[in-house]
Amino acid sequence: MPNNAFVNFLFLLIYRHRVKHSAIFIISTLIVTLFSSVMLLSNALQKEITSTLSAQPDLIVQKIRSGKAVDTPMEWADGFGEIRGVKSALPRVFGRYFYEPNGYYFTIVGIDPFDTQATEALERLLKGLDVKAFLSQDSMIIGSGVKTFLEQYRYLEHYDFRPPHGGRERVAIFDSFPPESNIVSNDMVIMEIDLAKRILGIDEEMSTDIILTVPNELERDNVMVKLILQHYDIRVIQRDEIAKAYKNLFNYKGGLFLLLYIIVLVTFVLILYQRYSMISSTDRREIGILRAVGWSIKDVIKLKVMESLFVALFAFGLGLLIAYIYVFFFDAPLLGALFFGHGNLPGDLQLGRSIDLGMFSMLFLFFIVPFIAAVLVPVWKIAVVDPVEAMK
Amino acid sequence: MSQNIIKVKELNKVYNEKADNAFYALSDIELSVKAGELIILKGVSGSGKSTLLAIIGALSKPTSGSVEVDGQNIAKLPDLHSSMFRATTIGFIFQSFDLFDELDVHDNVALPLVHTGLSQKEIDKKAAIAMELAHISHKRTQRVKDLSGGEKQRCAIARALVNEPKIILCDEPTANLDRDNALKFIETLKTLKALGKTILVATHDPLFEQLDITDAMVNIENGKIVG
Amino acid sequence: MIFLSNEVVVFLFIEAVLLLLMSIAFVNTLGILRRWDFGSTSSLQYKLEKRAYLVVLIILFTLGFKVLQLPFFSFTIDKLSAIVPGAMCGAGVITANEYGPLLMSLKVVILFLTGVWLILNDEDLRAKEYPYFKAKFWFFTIIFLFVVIESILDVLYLANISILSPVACCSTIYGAVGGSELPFDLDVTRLLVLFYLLYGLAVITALYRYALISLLSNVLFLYVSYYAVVYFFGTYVYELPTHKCPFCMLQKEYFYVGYLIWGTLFLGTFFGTAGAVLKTIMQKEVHFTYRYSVWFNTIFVLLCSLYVVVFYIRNGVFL
Ligand SMILES: Nc1ncnc2c1ncn2[C@@H]1O[C@H](COP(=O)(O)OP(=O)(O)OP(=O)(O)O)[C@@H](O)[C@H]1O
Ligand SMILES: [Mg+2]
Repeated sequence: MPNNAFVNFLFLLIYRHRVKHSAIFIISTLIVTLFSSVMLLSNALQKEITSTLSAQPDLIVQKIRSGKAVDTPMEWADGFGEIRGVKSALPRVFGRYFYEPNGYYFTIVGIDPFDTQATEALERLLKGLDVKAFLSQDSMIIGSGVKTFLEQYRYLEHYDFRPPHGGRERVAIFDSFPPESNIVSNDMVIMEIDLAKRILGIDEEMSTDIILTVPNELERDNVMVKLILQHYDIRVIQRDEIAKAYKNLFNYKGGLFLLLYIIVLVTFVLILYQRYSMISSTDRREIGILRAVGWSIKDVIKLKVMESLFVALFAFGLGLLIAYIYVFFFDAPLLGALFFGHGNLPGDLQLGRSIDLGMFSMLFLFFIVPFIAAVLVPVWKIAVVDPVEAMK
Repeated sequence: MSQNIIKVKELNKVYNEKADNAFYALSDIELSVKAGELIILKGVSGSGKSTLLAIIGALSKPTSGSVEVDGQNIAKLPDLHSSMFRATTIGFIFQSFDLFDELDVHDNVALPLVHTGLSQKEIDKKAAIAMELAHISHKRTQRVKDLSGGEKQRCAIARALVNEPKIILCDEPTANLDRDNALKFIETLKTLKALGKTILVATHDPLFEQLDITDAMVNIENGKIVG
Repeated sequence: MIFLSNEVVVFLFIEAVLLLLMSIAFVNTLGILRRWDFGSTSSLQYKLEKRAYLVVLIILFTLGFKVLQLPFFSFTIDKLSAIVPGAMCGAGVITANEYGPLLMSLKVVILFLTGVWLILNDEDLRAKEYPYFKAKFWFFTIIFLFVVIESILDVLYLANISILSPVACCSTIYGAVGGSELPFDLDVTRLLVLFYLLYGLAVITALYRYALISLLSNVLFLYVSYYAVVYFFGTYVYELPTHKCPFCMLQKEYFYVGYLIWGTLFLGTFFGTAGAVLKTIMQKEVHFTYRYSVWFNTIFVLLCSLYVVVFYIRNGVFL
């Protein structure tokens, strides 16, 4: 147990040698800040997506032809609705629309404003919609990311879509979602279902897919079997699988970054090793003195390890704090864009401020272990110098 | 008091033992010191005085022979124990003082006590007593690098005393002092002897030749005790 | 590609760093063991004594972080349950392939050996002539061997987790539906009787320092406790009679209490068995281990029982 006096002496020494430590401290802080930011961001995005997806349907049915999903007949929904355990079966219409001016995709979602919506999230978004006004002409409600892009090209009132079968569809901008809603609605364009079908080129009696609500988890396997009995050419997707697919994506972006980052870390460790291996004659003399007045090799090792550990911990704490503020108070400019990827739209989204124990220990171990590993050998080298020689 | 507190038998110290340039720094040293004695080790530069003191203080290990100090055979103690021995039994005073220039007097004096498990309060108390004994209390908050040579040495003395050692080992204590301060040091030695400390001084300073409190003079030549 | 998951990358990176350091220590150990002669006063011997400090320093560091790596590993596989289809918690992920359970047991064994080594080292440094010097370094070479195997298993295990084919969730593994999986055809009542009896035995043998019986009773206690926690006490942690899982309690929803439960059980049985092992290696009694054993086993049993009692007080019924 380091007693009071030891801690006092340790701090005294660190304070006296503060100039010596400052370079390593600054580099360490930068390194911690960088990877903590990325990890915090990717973690927060994952959480965001999970919470969004929890509002997704339980099962999704797609028609498959030669391994690819194709449009699904709407009438199938009636058959599915009769399966025991299925609370509701609704056809959905949605798809991606290529926005030429800057090469991004919008997600067009078709809705029937008189019916219940496919998901709770949609239901919430459309609450209080003035249906009459909405249907009085071809109009749409857009996500904040879409809005930004349309405004860039001065589409303030309406936008002319180009359906795959040619011609133009002029759609008025009815409203937009508030930016803090969430990531998934960021690139969304909501419009009346038939209009959406025209723009996406879907036949009138077709839909993109059919979603099923199966409240009882244990019933789902059963339901899936019966679905396949009705139509052999379908694919059924479970909600949990989507969540996992999304998580994979974000986790892997973080993982790729980490792999690159390990190179940085290894370089840093080598620098650290070099730096701590440079033992000046003053350092040696100091150790000689300590040994002469009764400090053991173990005591000196303890002092030196604690000295490095203190620098490392302080740098870690500061770096993490900076990262926290950068990600959660400034919404991670630059890095954020990186994580949204190419096909998506940037937007002002609010990330849930959180850092759990596991996240913390991961960041901690990732930095502290290589740091201390780098100084062990140099610390030992200086601790075992011959005191008589050192004081000559 | 007639107990031998230091018993050195057949002590040899060889540097680079197996190499061509093997060097016998000490050979066949026999030395016994009773508790409370003041011994002067004399000899020209390179004769092996410092080497002998370092071995008696368990700061370096002999090549062969036995060294018994305060009832312990220290010739082959593991580091943890030889350090403990130094921390409790030995006070060193060196020619070049060997202090932490960046720390103040008090912190330097307190150094030997850091690992003894005492509380900071007890350490401060002991340090205060030691500084008083060495007449350096008035400079307790001054940094060592701003001290004069004499003050530095008094600081070193206080540090050697702070762990209340039985044995004090001085290596050329007056070599870096002017005559005035050297005489003051001799006064301090007298106080320490009066306190019952066993003192070994390695020196070639003639000042120590006619010292009246000396119990024995030991001459070392080429690593051997003569006369 | 499970290897791109953040936690896995960090976990493997740290394992690699620790393995590298241990290899350095191992190479040095071989050199030391070959030429060590405490009686000698040659400068070579003094050099070896100094070198031994490097080895001890590295071992202390690596073993210390190995200890931290175990909960982090649990955390990692727990986190993986979010991307491995079918898995609800670490239980599904660890049984995703045949390496998982083996790896987990090996990690616990290494942790145990580590603890023994730490005590051995302490005793060795405290004595004046390095009495257990060779013993502790031979012991380390064994630990190193285990760690090498562990590292290989780490990679094999993680490489063989498929994120496409679903694994079982804990309710399938621990038989929420239908037949219980308890050993020796025990039912829960008898399991509990055995649990408390063995606890009593472990405490008594520890108090009287019967090394061998303490070892046996603690091994049995560990075995029975595992089942008692999974099949009985765990259900009170989850407040759900059908939820039988050793892993879910590590999650945040249960305030990470799993780390405390498994941690105290490990420490209690570790100290209870370490006494006998140390006695064999050192030919000498080490007393404090028994005291710690009693403490940790007691905390463990109290903690488990408390969940049941609190549940009963709050709801007036047992599950
Ligand atoms: N590491 C070493 N390797 C080889 N020779 C050494 C080593 N250390 C000391 N010596 C030699 O041992 C001899 C004794 O040295 P020591 O320092 O004991 O002399 P000393 O009597 O204290 O001299 P001085 O009065 O100059 O301090 C010297 O000749 C020195 O060169
Ligand atoms: Mg000298």
